[in-house]
Amino acid sequence: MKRHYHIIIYAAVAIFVITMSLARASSINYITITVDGKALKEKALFKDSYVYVPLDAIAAATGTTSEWNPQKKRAILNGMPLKGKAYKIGTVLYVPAISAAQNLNATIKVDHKKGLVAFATRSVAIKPPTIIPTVTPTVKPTPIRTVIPTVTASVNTNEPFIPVKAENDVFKITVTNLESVNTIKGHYTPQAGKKFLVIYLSQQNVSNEVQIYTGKLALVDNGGNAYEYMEALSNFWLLVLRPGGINFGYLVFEVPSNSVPMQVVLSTTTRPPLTLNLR
Amino acid sequence: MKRNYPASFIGSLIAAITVLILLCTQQGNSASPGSTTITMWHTMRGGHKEAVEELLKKFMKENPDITVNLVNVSSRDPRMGNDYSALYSKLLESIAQKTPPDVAQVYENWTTQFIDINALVPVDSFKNGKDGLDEKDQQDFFPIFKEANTYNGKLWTLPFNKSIYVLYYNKSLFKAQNLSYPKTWDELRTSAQKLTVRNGDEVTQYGIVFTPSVDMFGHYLYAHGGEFISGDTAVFASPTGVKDLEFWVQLTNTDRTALPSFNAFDDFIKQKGAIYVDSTSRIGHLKKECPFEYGIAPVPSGSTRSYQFAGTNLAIFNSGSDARQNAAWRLVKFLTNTDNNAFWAMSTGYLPVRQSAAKSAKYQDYLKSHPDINVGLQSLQYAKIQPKNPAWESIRGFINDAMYEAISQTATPSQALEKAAMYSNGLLKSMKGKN
Repeated sequence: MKRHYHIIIYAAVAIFVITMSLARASSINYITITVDGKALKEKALFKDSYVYVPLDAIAAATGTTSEWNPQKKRAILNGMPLKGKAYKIGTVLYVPAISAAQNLNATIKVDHKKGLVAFATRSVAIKPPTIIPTVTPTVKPTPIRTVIPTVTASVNTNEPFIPVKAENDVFKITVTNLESVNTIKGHYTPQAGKKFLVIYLSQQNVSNEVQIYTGKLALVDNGGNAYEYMEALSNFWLLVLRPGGINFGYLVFEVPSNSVPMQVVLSTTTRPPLTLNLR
Repeated sequence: MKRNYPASFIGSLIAAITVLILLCTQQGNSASPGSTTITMWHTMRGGHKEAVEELLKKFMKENPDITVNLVNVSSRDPRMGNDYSALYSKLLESIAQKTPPDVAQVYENWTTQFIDINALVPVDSFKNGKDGLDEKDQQDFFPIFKEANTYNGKLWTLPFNKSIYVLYYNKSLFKAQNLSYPKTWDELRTSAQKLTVRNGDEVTQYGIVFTPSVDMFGHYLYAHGGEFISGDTAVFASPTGVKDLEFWVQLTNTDRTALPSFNAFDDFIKQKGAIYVDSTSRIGHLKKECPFEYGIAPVPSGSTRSYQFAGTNLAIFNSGSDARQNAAWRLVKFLTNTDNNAFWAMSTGYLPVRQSAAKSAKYQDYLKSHPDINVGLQSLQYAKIQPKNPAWESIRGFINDAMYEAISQTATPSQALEKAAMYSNGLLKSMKGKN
């Protein structure tokens, strides 16, 4: 009898190990980018021993231009085509950091321990290299397990709310506004000791398949508490979304008066939760 | 060398094989050889739930080869959401996971979505089989319900629990003013003026108490030949729509004869307002809770008579199994046949969906002791459907907001409706994505 239990256990462990290693096979780490000492909000990817930087972000940070040429299938930075393989994740195009540095006449230093790639630009103008091979991108989104926050925003009601977004390979959530209110339609008030938080948002299907069930949204506060929204006071209803399709509306959450909203989280059945940082 | 197999080993082996066999046979959803098990999802509560359960018992008795798992889907927390949206969410999730139920209640705009993603089997595909639904049978459904369940000329679902909007009024207050119920929107305005009581500048009793909602907006809109959506365009911000909202703004803020309220039903029972418009599903509550004599009249007419209705239909889901789909059809047919529909209507106060059910001896008897339902029944011939677009729920929200903005005077009726139309058109377009 004991013999058979052992077989089952070994089999289960084997299956677990195989699954976990498959999941880890294409793992990606996100690391910080600095340009001349200043950290960017966008992150770089460390994949297969190479560092990739988001094309548009590095161009903006260095005061240069970037472009994607769909006919020739190549990325252009600072007026020159980029060497090496590019990756598109969601709507962000990542290019090899070394090639980017070349085009920018910058040096890069990668510190694996600190999780950092540091660009240092030179002030001398450079000549474009003579032979440039074309860049062939993989346009299919690579599944990623973490989120790239593009902008952090203040949710102090005295300051205007700056839109924030988060995406994975299936959905992109954008929060365009957040406000704290004590009455809705002159009638609905929160329970004692609570306030209403109204979040205006959109959800886009950034995959190439129809998304039938677009998940559940929740708010997480500074205490780590998750809240469901009050449907009757909100206006955001489930829609099947075709590729590129966008749904939008607003959600009303009832939270303790001293709660600070930290994240909006989208839970779906096919991906880990997509977390959008509100601050 | 002969091996000795211990009894425990053989026991485990037999157990394992039995489990395997059971697992394999579960796939076919067979509770017993030759029978089919299907699942029906519904949101009914209380007396309505009992009525559904009774019908299901009767179905299984008459169809011993079918077992139905009746599953009640409800909102975990009514403060967070209602039962129908909990059902819609569960349906979408189950379809995405390829494990839908076999039968479920559905709204017309859900059906549009489900057809688009190939999640349903149309009723139409069963019409010619044995246990079919011939032409005569199909024509027996009230035309508006048949139309509501038809998409691109094909009958996809069948009506189940339907109600229609009517005007409730406080008979004693009307009698005191020597008034009969208002038949037109102009009469509604003048009745409201006559019924409003003031103590100095303070209004102590309003002519009308109403919820500033998309459904209230819809009554005037439909009565004057207006529409919410045409094709993929929001058309409710038309001159008719603006006049509609202006009507309510005038009665609320100029005439001061209408009380906007988010507790309008309770306010009507407390006699804060003499007139209240809602669906026939309120009749049960009124009978129990109303302390005064109430009357029921059709919603006022304008250039035309056109009334909104509510409630769901029954859909058969694409499970990939012919056996299950056929069993699902037999259940849907059973629930909507003349006898059972009459029983359902009498038990719940929902409208009969078949003319034969309405005319049946049993139901006619019921009407004698429940005359309240007559007005709703008579109104059916003028009923008009609300939009079937999947974005309808969100568009309702935009119009709800516009209604409130105009009545609270934070925007003019025109501004409020234009904004709602802009959002609506935005969504109608954006939800389609790249197509």
